[in-house]
Amino acid sequence: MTCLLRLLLILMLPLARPPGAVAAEGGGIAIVLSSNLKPYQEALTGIRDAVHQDISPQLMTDGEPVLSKDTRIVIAVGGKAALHSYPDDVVLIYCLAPGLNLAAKGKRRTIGVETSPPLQTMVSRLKQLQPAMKRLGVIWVSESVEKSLATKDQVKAAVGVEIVSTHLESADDLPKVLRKLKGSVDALWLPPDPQLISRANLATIQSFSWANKIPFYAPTAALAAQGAVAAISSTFEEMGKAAGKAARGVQQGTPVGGTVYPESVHTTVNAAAAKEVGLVIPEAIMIAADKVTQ
Amino acid sequence: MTLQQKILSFLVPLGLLSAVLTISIFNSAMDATLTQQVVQIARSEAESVSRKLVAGVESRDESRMLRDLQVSQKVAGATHLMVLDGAGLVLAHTNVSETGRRYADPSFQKMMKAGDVHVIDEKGDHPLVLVSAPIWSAQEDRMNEEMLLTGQDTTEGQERMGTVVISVPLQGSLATRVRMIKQLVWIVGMIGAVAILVAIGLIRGILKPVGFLKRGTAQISRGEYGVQIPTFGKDELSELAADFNRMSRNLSETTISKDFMSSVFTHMTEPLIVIGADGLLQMCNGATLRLLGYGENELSGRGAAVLLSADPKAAGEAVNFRPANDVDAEFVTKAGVKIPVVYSCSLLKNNNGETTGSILIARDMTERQRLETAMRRSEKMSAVGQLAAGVAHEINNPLGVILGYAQALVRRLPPADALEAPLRSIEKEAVRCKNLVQDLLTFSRVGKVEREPMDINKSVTAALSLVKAQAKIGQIMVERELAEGLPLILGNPNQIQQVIINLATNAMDALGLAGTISIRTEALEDGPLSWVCLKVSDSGSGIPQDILTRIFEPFFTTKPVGKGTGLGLSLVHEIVKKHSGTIDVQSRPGRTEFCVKFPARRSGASSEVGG
Repeated sequence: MTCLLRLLLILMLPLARPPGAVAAEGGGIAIVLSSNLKPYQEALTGIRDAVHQDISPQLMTDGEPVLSKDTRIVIAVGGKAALHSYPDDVVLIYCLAPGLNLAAKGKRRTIGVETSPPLQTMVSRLKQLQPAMKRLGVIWVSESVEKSLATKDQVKAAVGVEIVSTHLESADDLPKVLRKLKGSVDALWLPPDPQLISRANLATIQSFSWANKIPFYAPTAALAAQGAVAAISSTFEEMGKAAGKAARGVQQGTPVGGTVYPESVHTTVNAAAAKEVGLVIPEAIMIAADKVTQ
Repeated sequence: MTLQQKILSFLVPLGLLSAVLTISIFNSAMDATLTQQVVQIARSEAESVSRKLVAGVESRDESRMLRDLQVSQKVAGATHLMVLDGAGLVLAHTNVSETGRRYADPSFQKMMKAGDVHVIDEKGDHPLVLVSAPIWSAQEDRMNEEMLLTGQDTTEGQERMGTVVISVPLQGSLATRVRMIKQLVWIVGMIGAVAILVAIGLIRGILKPVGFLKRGTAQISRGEYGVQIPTFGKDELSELAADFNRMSRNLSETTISKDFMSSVFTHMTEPLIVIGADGLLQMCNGATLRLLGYGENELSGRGAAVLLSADPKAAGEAVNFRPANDVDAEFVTKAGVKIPVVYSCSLLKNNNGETTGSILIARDMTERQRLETAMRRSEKMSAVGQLAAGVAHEINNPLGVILGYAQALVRRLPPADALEAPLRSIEKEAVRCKNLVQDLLTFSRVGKVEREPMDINKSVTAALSLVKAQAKIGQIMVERELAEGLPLILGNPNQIQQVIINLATNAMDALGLAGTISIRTEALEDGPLSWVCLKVSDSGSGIPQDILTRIFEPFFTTKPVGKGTGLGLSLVHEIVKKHSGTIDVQSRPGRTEFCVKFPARRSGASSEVGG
């Protein structure tokens, strides 16, 4: 009898957990957000839309996420959520975690949603903005960025733009690298590298760009307002939607690669910055741009 | 208030208001800008030093923090900097005596909780800007993700370790503001003064043509037509001045023509009368007024008949607007005297050919008629004289024979002879015929006598001795009043005496049995001519006006047949005329006066007056 009661208590234990402590799951999917940041909320909307379920997320700011036994898939939104230690038997799908490359780590299956579109797509869009571009300088610190540049030769062949990739040992090397790139590139592209992108570095790059009339392009629409000529990116909702679709693919057993991209690509143009660097963007591109800021 | 004063009274307050508003706005803007600059410098320095203070705050190393605070104090020109922990405890202060103090007032509580706060402390002698910046723990690289996604800095995952507060004085900015306000007031004042001078200049420039217009208008109002004013440029005022000049010229031409015409009318010697379509007198020139004795405006608006009522037919031609030439008529003077005139009438017509009145130009025929009468009388007398001379010569001898025989027979008749009465009658009538013949002979011989310088008073005295004897028959008084020192005249004493006797006899005939006869002499100056005037008047019943012009005709008499020959006055007239004199008569009931004038000699005067 005692054993029976103990078994009953053990079975009821999950019910005794506080409501926020366990991820509200649907179909074995748990959603963990790094914080309540607005981009994460937008991504959550995309996830819910893709999985067709109104799953309540767990916030890392509320404490350690707790997964139920049924959890098979964790969709982590943000770097902090992605870096959390999850059981090895769950599939980790992460988004809005720029600079992270968890695919090669551990035995757990991980699927990363890229913040930027595929390199060729991105460069093609930049080529449309700046038709005279021949050499595109890319500077980065995080190792994870190297993977996204793996197709640069194909891009050169397909788009006609040579990617001049420069790896910085640390962000402190930025001024030296910029001086080195002056005169050798037609434009700069900043990959979504959290180790490189800071307010100070952005200010340095913007001053360099405007002084030397070398357009620089940002990885997110938000950074286009910080002096970049344009940003080729997806919306956070699209990124969440891509994560949700990957989760459904895993649920349904369809093949899903280690890296997925959002389906749509948006172009944000900062007309004032373009004017500062003397770049004349074709009228048709300006009309087709998803957003133009002055 | 002049136009210039009105404009200035509007512009000056407006300028002052603008100046005050400008200075006020500038003051506010300067205050905000300078304060903002100070806040910006303080904020920048606070943020900068806050990053450097992380290690010092972590280790609570005051001296380490103090070094950074002192550097920032120098850079920002701050009065002091301090580092507070979360509870308001001063961990480090540039004034080390403040270290350890705890701030709990609301403004500091706000600074310690919020991110970036600035307050202006005006409690002390000099206002201060206090700016706070949080001191965050070191940032993890990972946390740049938020910057990347949102474009904004993040403090996610960072701990607030404390607050740095920098205090920067506003004194410098206030001094700058005061200095700039002073400069602005000076500049605005100068600009205002220059603007007022320029405005006055502009206003005067604008009003100058108006002044010319005003003076020109005043001149025209005084009748100075044709005045021209200067024109400047090609603006509206210049066009107005040009129009004024044009108007003045036109006014001059038309008005002067009117004056000219008026002058012509005024100085015409012939009467000119304009009658309107309504039959009323529109205009009469000076000659008309002088002729008829009216004042300047007495005839305007009166009917034309007032002038021509004596001849309705003639008046009708003028008033009924029928052209006529040389119409004989009589104008009536204001005193009612008729004046013979000859007038021509023409019609006035407007541009449409409609008759709007008539113009009469008349000639005064009084003098002409007088001359014509005189000429007729002269011719008549000349004929009578020739006839009388011939008749008298032929009749005189037979008449002498008849008278001689008649007188001889009467003397030879016995008393109470029956033939005495017829013979006496023959004698009497023969004597009367002889007298008549004698008068005729005298009349015919007037121009054939010798003349000499003579004193008319002597002739009067001689004649009166004869006249007085006849006057004594009745109760007729003879008065005489002879002027002393009369000039001599050139005349025949017998004929002059004959004139006096004839005039006195004529007067006694007019008086009948009683009355007064007055005989006066006087000298008369009429322009360059000197005359000696003999006036014979009586207090009789006067000569009727209708015969007044005929009394000098030969054989004209109003006396019964046998009482006068009608040659007395005509003989007087003939004698006076032969002496180059004139004779006029004025008569009214109770007084008739004959005035005879003889030309006086230039030298010589009578020395005595006869009694």
